[in-house]
This record gives sequence, C-alpha cells and structure tokens, in this order.
Amino acid sequence: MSRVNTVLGPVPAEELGFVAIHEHIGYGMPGSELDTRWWKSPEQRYEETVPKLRRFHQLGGGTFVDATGICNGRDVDHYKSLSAKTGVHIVACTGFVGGDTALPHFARADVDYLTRQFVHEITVGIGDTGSLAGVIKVGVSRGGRMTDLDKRIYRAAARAALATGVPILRHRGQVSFDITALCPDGTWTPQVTKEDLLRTVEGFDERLVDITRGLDMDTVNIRAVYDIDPVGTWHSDSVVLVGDAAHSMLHHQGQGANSAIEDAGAIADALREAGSVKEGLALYQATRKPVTDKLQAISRQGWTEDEINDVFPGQKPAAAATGE
Amino acid sequence: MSVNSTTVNTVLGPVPAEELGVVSVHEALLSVLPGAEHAFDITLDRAEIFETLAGKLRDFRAHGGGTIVDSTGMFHGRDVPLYEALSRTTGVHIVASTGQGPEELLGGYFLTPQTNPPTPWPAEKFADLFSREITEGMVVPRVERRGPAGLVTTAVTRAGMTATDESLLRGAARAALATGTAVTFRYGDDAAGELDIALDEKLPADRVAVGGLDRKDAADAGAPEKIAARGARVVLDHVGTEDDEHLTDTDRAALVADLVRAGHTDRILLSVGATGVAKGHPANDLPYSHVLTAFVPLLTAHGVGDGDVRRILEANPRDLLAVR
Repeated sequence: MSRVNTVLGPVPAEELGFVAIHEHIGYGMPGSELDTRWWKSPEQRYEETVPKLRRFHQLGGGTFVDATGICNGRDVDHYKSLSAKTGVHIVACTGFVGGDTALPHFARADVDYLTRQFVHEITVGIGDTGSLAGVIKVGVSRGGRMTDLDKRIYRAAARAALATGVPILRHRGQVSFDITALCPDGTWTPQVTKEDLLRTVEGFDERLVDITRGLDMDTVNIRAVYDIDPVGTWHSDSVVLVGDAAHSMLHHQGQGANSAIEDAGAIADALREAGSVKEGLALYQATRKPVTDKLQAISRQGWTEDEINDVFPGQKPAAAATGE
Repeated sequence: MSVNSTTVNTVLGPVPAEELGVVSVHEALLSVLPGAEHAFDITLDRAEIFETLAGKLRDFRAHGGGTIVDSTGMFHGRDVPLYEALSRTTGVHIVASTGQGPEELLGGYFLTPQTNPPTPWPAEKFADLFSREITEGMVVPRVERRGPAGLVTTAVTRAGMTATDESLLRGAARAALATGTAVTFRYGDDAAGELDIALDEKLPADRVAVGGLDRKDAADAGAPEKIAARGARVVLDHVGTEDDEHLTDTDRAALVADLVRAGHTDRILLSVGATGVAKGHPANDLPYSHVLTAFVPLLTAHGVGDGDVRRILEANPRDLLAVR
C-alpha cells in the first residue's frame, strides 16, 4: 500500500521516516473519564505532550502510531492539532485494545457489525473528525485467555484488514513465565501434573504457590531443557562456532542469548586485532571460552541432586519433588 | 408522614420540595447505551435531541406534570448542560442522578482492577465516586463539574446479583447515607434480598426505592407487598408497558389498589420508564404523561381515591427526593 492514513490525511509511505509503531498519546480505560483523579486540563495535556513529540521529531522521528482503540479515550481532534503543530505524522487506529475495553454497544455486537465499524473508520472517517484510521488494533482481554468477544473483534479486524488493505496491530495481553525444575523424566515432553508442579514449588513464596495453584494446565507447555558439556575447540582455521553451538547452557541464569551476542562482539574485535583469520578465531576462543565455560558450569549447578540445596535451599531432590 | 420543608437538587439548583408538583421518578431523558456514542451508524444531533425532549417535557407539563427524574445515572447518556437548557426552556423541573449499573453496563475501568487477585471495585470507592457527584457536582467527563445530583441510582443484574453489583449497591447506599440523598435501584432476581443489602448499610428503609416491581415475576413473588412491608418504596416503573415481561395496566392498577388497601399508600411510586431519546437500544416511546392521562383514570376505576392518587404522584416522590 503506497498510502498511509494519518490524522491529517493520507501520506505516501515514503514520507513516514522513522516510525514509532505502537504508542499512546493518552490512554484511559472506559469509564475512567468519570473519575476526576485522571482528568487533565487541555493546558496540561499540551504542556506534557508537545515537548515529547517535538523531541521525538528533533531526534529524527517521523511518524507516531497511536494504538489507542475505540472507547479508550482516543481523541483524534487532539491528535490532529498535535500533528499540525509538531510536524510529526500521527496515525490513529480503529479497533479495540481488548474485548474488556469494548463498551456494551460493541460488546453485544456481532462480527459483521464490528467489521462495518472498522471499515467505516478506515474508509469514511472516525466519528465526525474526517480522519481515517491507519491501523486496526486488537488484543486479548486481561487474564490472557481469549474471550468470545475478543474472537469476534479479531475476526472483524481480519475482515476489515482484508477489505481495506490496512494492517492489524495486536496486543497479546498475556504474561508468560517459566518454572524450571528437576524432573526424572528425561523425554522431550515429560508428563507433569499440577500436583507435581505444586510439590515442586512447595516452600516458595505463597504468591508463587498461588499462581501455580491457579494455572490452567491446558495453557501450560511442558518441555525438557538440555545443555551440552563444554566443547574443547570452537574453531578450525576458517570455521567457528558461536552461541549455543559453542556453549549451550540452561536458561535460568538468562545468559544464553546474552552470551551469543557477546560472542559476536568478541569475534569482531578479535578479527580487527589479529593479523589473520586463523589468529583472529583463536583469539576469539581464548577471550570467550573461559567465560562461557564458567557460565555453563553455573547453569548446570543445581541440576544434580547433591547441588540442589546450593541453588534452591530447602528444596527436595527430583524423586521427592515428583512424589515418586 | 410529615413533609419536611427541605429542598430537592435539580439541575438548575435546589428547589423547595413542595414546588415539585407531580413527579415521575424513573424516567430517562437522553438514554445512550455505553459505547453507542462511538458507533459509526449512530448520530447524536444535539439540536434534534433537544427538540424531541422539549416536546415530550411540554406534553408532560401540559397534562399536569411538574418534575421528571432522569434515573439513568452517570454513564448512560446523561447530559447535564442539555438538561439545564431543557428545564429552563420548558419549565419542568429536572432531577438528574448519579450512580451506574448493573455490572454489564460499566466501563472496563471498574471491572479490570489492577489488584492481585483481581477484586471488584470496592463499595467504598463507588460511594466516593457517587458522593462527590452530590457534594461537588455531576461530572461532564474531562471538562467540569455541574450542579449536584438529586438521586443515587443503580441496578442489579437480572440473572442475579454479581459481586460488582453488590459493591455498586452498597456504594450507592453509603453515598445516599452520607449525603442525605435517596437511593433507587432496579432489582435483579430477588427484590427483598437485594433491599436487605442496602439496609445493611444502615440506610433508613424509606430512603430506598426499588424499581422493576411491576414485572410479572415480581408480582408473582409478592415482591411489591414485601418491599412495602419493610418500609421501602415500591416503584412500579413500567406504567403503560404491556408485554410478556410486565403486568398490564389493568393488573398494575389492581396491584396499586391492593397496596393502598393494605395501608402502603405512602410507599407507592409510579413511573413510565420512558426513554425520551434512545441511542443504541430500543426506545420506550410512551409519553411521560401516560400516568396522568391513562393510568390515573384506571386507578380511580379500581377505587383508589383522589387523595391517595395525589399522595402517590406528589407527596411520595417529594419525600423521597427531599435532601435530609
């Protein structure tokens, strides 16, 4: 699509420059406008927002995509004046941040009606502002499980996107987290029940235990994780290993991806310093391997039963943790 | 019952209670399903809305009406500046209300609290939100506060009270108690049980009006008699509506006559439940004057004396609305 709908009218895509793709000029859950604690006077709103947009523009920012959906305080007339005065292109959206931000009129609507609402805002205008929406916002309601309404909104957004050529921005609305634990089942997808998980987190902070107790096991992925022993040599004269190929480690120190990025930096430095590729690769290994050997050892600590008390004091070894 | 020489909060300021005349306590002026104001296929033409409402208010006045209570609360299209102009133009006193409900009609702000675990907005916060609309004035969202609300209103979900509904009802009762205003609610599935919630907040029974009591299921359960026996106000608020869900006017008149004979005259309130202008939902297009033109003759035919009729139409709502 060579045209992008901004609040001041369509512009060629080539003119957008650097784009901040998912921002909010102002945002409020529907109903928050009834609570004066959230009110800001027009004076305050301009005073807070204009310098931020101006700074964005001075640093090279070209376009600001406002992902504030219908019913969330989306204020297109405000965006129009901000865009005109700061020179930043502003793209407004149609759609909803999540089903839980759709007020009853839309919450009761079917896919067809929602589609027509979105298409209208993209092709005719948002309310009486005359501005066309440039993206469609969708998202999952709080709690992270798609509601029936979320699904209707997603379908309507997909249909409107297909009909108009405007893209969809989505919000997962979910928090994910990992529990890493010893497990005597060494297969790729161990069979673990909620009771097993509860035994694993027994003795941890009660909030963690509560989260585990409340888990919907249908939403839980259970996967075995593996590491490798340190590799003696990482390179030939012209080929080199980096990242997990060189030093795969367990993830719970958060050092796997970080180490790969540091490898890349170390190779660049080594090649610049050394007189030949062969010497450069040797220098890289000499620089990095002592560090990653240590990280691999740390990540493996706690994965034998006699070490577990160092890492998770008071926790039980694998057999006890799974109740076997 | 003594009539206190007190005032009622109308949109044009406090008015001596004895000036209200015939009052209809459960009506809607501009009624907008939350969200409909953002709908692509709904227009809100203020001039047209004003003209329609002014015509209906003049008709009410021409048939002897004095005061209309817009009992739709703070989040269903309430437009205080419009109501001020309507009252000035037509000479009909207009009482606007604070409050909201049931749960399904609330914005996400009140339903997705950032607490762990998620809990409904507490009664105390609703009480504060509603009380401020009386002590500081009704909100025009994000713009200003206007005059004080004259009534606190809420509703209970038809399928049964939710936790949020209970918070709303308790909050409404506390706001009423703190400000000397009355509270009115449309009952869900257990009028007496829900009334008990409001009374549990130490609100005197005669400061509570229970709406929806001319539904067939209410009559079948003997709810009007039970509510009156507890000293609360019985609102038959669909006068003129004859459908699968409600009593006919003939049965309604018989119900009023029964309540009068049982000594509950001063507990009875009548209203049409008309929607002057409805957006996003079906209108109840009956004139506000329907009680005066069509229902009063039916009451007379059922043996309700003129004095009792006057008491029901004037003194009872005056006692309810007078600030204590």
